[in-house]
Amino acid sequence: MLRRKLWRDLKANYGAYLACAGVLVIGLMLYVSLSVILESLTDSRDDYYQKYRFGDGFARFVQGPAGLARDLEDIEGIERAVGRLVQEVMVNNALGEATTTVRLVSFDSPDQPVNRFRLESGRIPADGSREVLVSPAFLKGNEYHLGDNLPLVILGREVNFKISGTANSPEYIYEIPGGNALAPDPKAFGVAFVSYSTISSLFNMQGSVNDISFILSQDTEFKDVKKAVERQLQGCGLTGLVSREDQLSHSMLTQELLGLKGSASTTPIIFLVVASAILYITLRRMIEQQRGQIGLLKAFGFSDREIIIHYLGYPLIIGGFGGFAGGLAGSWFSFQLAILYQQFYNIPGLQGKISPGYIGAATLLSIAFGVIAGYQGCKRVTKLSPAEAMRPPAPLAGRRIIIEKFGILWSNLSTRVRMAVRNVFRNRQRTAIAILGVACAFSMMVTARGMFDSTFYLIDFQYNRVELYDLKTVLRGYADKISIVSGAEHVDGVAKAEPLLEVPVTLNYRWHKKDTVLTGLSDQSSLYRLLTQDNEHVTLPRNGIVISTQLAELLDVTQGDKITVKPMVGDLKEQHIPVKRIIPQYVGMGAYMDIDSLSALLKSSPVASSVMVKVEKDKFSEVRKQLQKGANVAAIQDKTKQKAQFEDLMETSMASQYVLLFFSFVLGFAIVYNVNIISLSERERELATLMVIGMSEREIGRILLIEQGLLGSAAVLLGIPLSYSMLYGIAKATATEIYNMPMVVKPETFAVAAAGTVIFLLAAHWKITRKIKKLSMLDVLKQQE
Amino acid sequence: METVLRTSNLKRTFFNGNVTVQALKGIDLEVSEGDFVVILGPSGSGKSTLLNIIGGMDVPTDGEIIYRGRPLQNMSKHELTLYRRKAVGFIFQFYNLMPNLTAYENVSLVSEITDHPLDPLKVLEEVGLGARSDHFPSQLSGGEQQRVAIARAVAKNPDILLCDEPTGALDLETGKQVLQYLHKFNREMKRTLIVITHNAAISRMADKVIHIKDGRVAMVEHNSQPVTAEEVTW
Repeated sequence: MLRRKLWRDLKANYGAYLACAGVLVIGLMLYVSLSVILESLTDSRDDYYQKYRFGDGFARFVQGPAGLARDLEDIEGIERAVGRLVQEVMVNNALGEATTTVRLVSFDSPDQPVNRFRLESGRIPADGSREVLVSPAFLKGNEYHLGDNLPLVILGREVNFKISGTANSPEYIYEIPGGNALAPDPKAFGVAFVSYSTISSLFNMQGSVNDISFILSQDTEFKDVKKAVERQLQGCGLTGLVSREDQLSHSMLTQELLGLKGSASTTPIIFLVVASAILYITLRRMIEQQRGQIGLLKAFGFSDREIIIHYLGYPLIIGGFGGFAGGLAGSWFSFQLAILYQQFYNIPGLQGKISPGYIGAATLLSIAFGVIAGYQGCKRVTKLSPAEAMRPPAPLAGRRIIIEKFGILWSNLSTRVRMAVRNVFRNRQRTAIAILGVACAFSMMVTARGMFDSTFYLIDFQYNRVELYDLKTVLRGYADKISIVSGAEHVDGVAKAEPLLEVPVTLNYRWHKKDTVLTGLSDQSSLYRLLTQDNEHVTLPRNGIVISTQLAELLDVTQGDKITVKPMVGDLKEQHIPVKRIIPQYVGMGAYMDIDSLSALLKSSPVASSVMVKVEKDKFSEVRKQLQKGANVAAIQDKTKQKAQFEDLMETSMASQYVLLFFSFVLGFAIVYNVNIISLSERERELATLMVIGMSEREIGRILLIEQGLLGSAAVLLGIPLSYSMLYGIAKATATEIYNMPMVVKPETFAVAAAGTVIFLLAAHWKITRKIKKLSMLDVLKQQE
Repeated sequence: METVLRTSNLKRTFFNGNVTVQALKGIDLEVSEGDFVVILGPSGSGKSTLLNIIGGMDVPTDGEIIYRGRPLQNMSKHELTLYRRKAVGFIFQFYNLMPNLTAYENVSLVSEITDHPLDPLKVLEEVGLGARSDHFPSQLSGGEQQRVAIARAVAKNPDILLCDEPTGALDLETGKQVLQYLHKFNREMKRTLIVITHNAAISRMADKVIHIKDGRVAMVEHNSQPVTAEEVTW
């Protein structure tokens, strides 16, 4: 019999329960889909790493004998090592412009002991043949087909390769070249595998390698062998030696996994907590309304336990339904997420799935939250004696609220406004829950958009204010600064050329240590500007170093401290250089010096490793063609393209923002709607009285609207700091050495979130006014209080 | 005296699923300006239905109800709202005050929505609550609450004061006090007072007593010598 009552009660209040279940469904859908993807990404990665023998350490150097790999294997702790030739070359397109860079990676045999590739289609290039394997993303992104020609510019001349197949490697799950590229762009960069004999003869490097990756034996850590490897590679011009943790693709993937983990464990909680809060207040109110029935049940001899179990049936049904539906929705969503992730990560085996485990966990989680909230809401049943329960509850005692102490303000308010204000304070607990819920929804909206604001700010900062060049010619090795710059300046269409010198170094301060790239710029550099917090141009000092805030934090240095700089190139002594300035930076962990001083550090006359060029309008194509003719040009980076590509990527992922906006909207609506329903049910009699004394539905609606306004304003006020702390948390969680997000929220974002809040408040209000219209003055007034 | 309210053949039928209940079976009555009218009847006689229709909260199924020449049965929802707002002051058995407004605020709430309201504080003083005007309903006794309700109804300066068992929830002494204030309003301000009750004792104060029984007017009594509230007892 009680079961029948349960169903009828659910039906009678279906709106409130549906809203609550909706919030649960969203929360658990996020939980399940993110968890499934997280699990699939982690598992596929581990599996991939193991099967294709992903390295534990990676060394890059200028040139060394091929036998070095075997020498490294003699180091205790290194199990296997493989030497390779890795060279970046440009692809000539139909117009003769080289806009795409390909990283050629040599292989001895497809089953080499470290860093194997996984053949996806076609066949492996024959030894010594002019054939390459490219990544499937590269093939697709550039609209190539198997068997197509790939014209590469090698040492200044065009060499035709044939695409014999496609392959991926655990080394390039996230296929970016490094530097300031943050997202894969197959049109700009791709990886290709070529046989060692082909590449070594083309580059005249027979018998040499410039890259060694190695696998450690069990129980050995990278730092145990680092020194020995460095010693072994002495004289080869070591330019980089990193562990797996710092390997570019791996660290990007790890960061993504950390972010996913964070999202999977926090976002669903917000929804679950809000849903629980709704259940709690709904049940509490229901128990109050049904106290007469409860008294009767008790009088009939039902025990407290039976009655509580009856009331727990509501959260059980709603929680069970929400959890299960959320689990199913999450399973579906995991397939969509997998498709999205496959666009960024070349990882086999990544897929969504219907996971009974997670669906079960979601259901249990949802029921647990529901039942705990429900129990809190209905435990008061036990305190009622049957006789007491059958009496109506004590009527509301009106009371003054704190605002009334501001006499002048208060006395100027109309009675209707006063009534609205006091109503907001009537049930403080419920109001607090509503304000918190709305604040959460508001902050989620701000956060959803704020992340894009921050990213666009980053793009603008980096590409419009710091890097002002159009093209960057990256050289193979170093070249005389003056001749290379004047050479570029003489190219027709070049408005301005400036040198850039990038040197891999190890920075030391006390016990802190960091391998990074030290960039040399001319002291009046105008194509690459260093800016202070207030956008002031920093002039590089003759004797001193300028570093980024992140690097300063990592090394724990402040302005004026002397840090130790040791170039990784050649066998140069370390030097102590004072930190002259610390500047904000969002891309990379930069350190900067005057180019001539940096050259001096290398015991060299002024040199450069790249030339930055500002191009006259409409001369891009010609300038490119001229620049790429240089024999020692490794790549030409087009900043405008990089920027546009990055912006495109952001635009496409903006869609996720709308999903989040929608979810926040549902969250906000659900809580406001429920709170409104409950307070309406408490106040039916009052509202009917207002009608009887001659207020129109509209006027009554206006009083309720004032309440909504007060609630919404309080929530927005609370939501602003909440948004910033959410964004701060995200920025902290996603900060990497490659980039860290500035915290920038545009006023429009707050406006959009506030508008969203107003809209769901109005939507909830509209639903309530419809209920007011149905309110019967007669029925309500007939009842005794 | 001008007729304020007139009904003819007023009928109200409730349809509740398969059951049809005829609450009013054709009521004819007339109320003149300044009259003190008691509508008397046992519970279930239809007097509450009649009050609802007179108060503009409900519309008849058939028949006419004319307020100063204007037929209520043809009015729109909005016109009925205006009628309730401007013409009628209500007093309920259970006071129906806004719990989170003080006595003063409860009264000024209605004065804010009408055209010619009386000063809320003066009206409260007249019902003897000037000193308690900033108390909340929960801080007032039942009689005091009902006096606030009277002040609220009176402050609108309505044409008709409509009371539904105004003493029903009060003890004799308090009830008499309340009647006294109602009477005062009727006599001093010359406003029409309609009291619906099953308490026959009150009818001794009225100019006109309309007996309702089984949805019809059973009898109309004219009282040439109405008594004061002090003389009433039950």
